[in-house]
Amino acid sequence: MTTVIGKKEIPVIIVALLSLLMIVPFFINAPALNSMSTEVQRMLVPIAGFALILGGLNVTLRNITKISKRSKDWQFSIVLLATFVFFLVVSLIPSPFFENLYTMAYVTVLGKVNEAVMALIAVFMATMAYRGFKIKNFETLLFTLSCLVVMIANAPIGEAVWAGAPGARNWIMDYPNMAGMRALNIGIALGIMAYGVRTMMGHERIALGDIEIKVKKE
Amino acid sequence: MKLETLLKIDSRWIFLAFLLAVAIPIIRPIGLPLKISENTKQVYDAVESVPDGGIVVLTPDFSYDNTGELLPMLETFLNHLFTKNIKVVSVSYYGAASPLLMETAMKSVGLETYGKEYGMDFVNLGYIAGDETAVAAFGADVHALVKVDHYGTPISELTIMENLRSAEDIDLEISLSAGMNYPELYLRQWQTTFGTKVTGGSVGLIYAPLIPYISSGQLLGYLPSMRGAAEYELLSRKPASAIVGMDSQSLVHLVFIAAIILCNIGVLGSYLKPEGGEDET
Repeated sequence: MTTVIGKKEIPVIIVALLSLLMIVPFFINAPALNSMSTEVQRMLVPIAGFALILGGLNVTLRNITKISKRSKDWQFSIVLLATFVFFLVVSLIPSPFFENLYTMAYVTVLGKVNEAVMALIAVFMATMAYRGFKIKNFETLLFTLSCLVVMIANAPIGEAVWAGAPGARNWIMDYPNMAGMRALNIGIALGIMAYGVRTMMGHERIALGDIEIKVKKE
Repeated sequence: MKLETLLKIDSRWIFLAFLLAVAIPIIRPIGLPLKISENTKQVYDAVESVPDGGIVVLTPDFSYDNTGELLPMLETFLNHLFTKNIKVVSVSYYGAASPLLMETAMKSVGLETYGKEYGMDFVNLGYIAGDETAVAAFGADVHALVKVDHYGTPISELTIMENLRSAEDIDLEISLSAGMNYPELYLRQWQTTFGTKVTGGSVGLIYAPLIPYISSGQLLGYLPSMRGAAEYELLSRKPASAIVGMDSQSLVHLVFIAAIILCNIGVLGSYLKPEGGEDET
């Protein structure tokens, strides 16, 4: 038996059966299969919750190691761990005071830092526009012109600057952009299907945790 | 002045122009005109077509880094929905920040302003981990997946949840997303399987890849960024924060366009240089 179904075949069989359980109800209306599929989906949600816990543990262990070895920028790890413990403690204690503290810390510290970083990206995009859109050949000419048209049309003032901008923008979006995006989306979808079939058949060795290939390449 | 010197403008001048373009209209609004697009009208019509007493699921799948673009959009949707007799269920699959952002929006909009009641007309179910699997599980059987709301109240005690059993009961899904995959999740798991209507809005960055879904009719319009929110505010006759930002957005776009034009005049100057000038990159 072990020669026919080895330790590599068992996960392949589990993956294949669960995948079929997810796929088949899309095409066949069988109440028993539907309820089984729903039950499996429901079971996966707590597993995702455990994945979050695993992620938290991983971050903690990595940063403790970094601090103990005094690796590069180890001081940042102290800040990260302190923040991690703070949020963990205030979110786990069921008290209105701690709930408010959690919300306040999240909104006024983390929220504002996130907003500031995003705003900085917008500012750097301005210099990127200055340095990046240089017309050097036919391709960059097309790229820059289409960017200018879309930018003018997207600006609320755009139509006042050039009345034809929305029409030109719509043409770019509805034809070249849409053709490209459709091709990309269909390509991605076919790629995912192929990947799924390969995983179900056990041909995707990395998906099954076989890291030997990676190690050999390194 | 030699044209190629335009290739060597100090970045700090561009930062200064950017700062002025954002700040001046906020201090002294200009009131530039804003035209409402067909796309925004389509989104508005989708909300208007929700039947009396219908259920709308609002999914704020974004975090604080996208509040500039998406918080005004969330508020304008809530303002419109609460003027009607529609039940609004909020749930997020993005992260822990989303339910807090919903709270922020609700404080700004105010349930009591519209005579609405929590648990009867609106509920915040919070964040559900599991991404696409969670979306699929929610669509298949809401009550099997969700036991309590964001504040720990059992959903069996919330009147609004009585008629929401699966995605079949959703009259409209409004997806506010910072990532392209989120509207696609609802299209795949709810629309394909249960025929749920999907609309919403996104950050400007991911709008272009979603256009094929709008033209195919899968998305009933989709608001692009703060501009979409501003147009929606105008349509629903409830001007708010998005409209305020439109003058700044116009001027910032002009700064970007001016920067591109200036650098290319510099490039032209370097080509016209008698001894074959070099491009400064």
